[in-house]
Amino acid sequence: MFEIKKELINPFIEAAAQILPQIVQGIEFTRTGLSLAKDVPVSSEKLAIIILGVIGNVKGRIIYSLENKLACEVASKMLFEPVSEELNSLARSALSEMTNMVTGRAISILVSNGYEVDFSPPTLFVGRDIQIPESDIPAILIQFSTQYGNLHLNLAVKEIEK
Amino acid sequence: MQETTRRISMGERAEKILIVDDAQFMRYTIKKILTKFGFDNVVEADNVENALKVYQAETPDLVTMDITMPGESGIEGLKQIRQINPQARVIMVSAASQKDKVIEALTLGAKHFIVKPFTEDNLIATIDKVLKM
Repeated sequence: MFEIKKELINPFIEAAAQILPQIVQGIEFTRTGLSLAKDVPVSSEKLAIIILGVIGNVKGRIIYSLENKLACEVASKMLFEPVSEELNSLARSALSEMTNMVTGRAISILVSNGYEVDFSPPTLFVGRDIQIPESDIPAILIQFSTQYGNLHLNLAVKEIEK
Repeated sequence: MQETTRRISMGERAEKILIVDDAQFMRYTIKKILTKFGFDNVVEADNVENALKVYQAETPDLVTMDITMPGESGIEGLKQIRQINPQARVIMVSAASQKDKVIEALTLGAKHFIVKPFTEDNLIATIDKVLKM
């Protein structure tokens, strides 16, 4: 049976808890769920989805999924100005940077714990019914609730044996 | 406080700053902070190749250089700018996970570094310190 190591998961939870309050002040992120993600659900709701790869002796991928209202609020807080629902290129860049910062902090924790690991730049999609190919690595779904909607982190990472 | 902000935003600082970052958000944010603190002379590049062209054309007093960019990295950009001007003042902008790359950049002549996410005060204090070098 495949075991999901908490040493690989906890840094992402810790990083989100550290970074999100710093960069999006005024949005309260509360972790409300942690479960095995059997598949990546297709949502009819408009979402901003950002995917980053993890490389090194831990490999896999992270998907950040934000409900559109929350995505607008996050981008607006980061830019200190209103953002329209269409999420222009500057707003999308802000959202990508948010995932860079959270993932960067998580990777830094993993590195300080002895892993040799890095991550690839984010790719962002906005829309409804976005289908993400399933990972061959079992994934964990971490849910954060806010007053503007939910953020899901879908984390599929595993350690590569030397 | 408002008075101070208004006064310094009228263009007190003559130094020219080049922002090199592939992320539109980071270029926008850094420029906005610089303008707020009186740096009106700001130029931008979204990759190393463009940064070198802008550096030679504009001869900025200071460069903020993102480390991770598509194509050539900020480390390569630092090396090439230091070849053009061995006295170039370059501040590396890094993610939290890039400690090794920051050390490499400092060894190669970067004057300082700043880790994202940073505050306005942190950015301006670092720039002021490096401009005095």
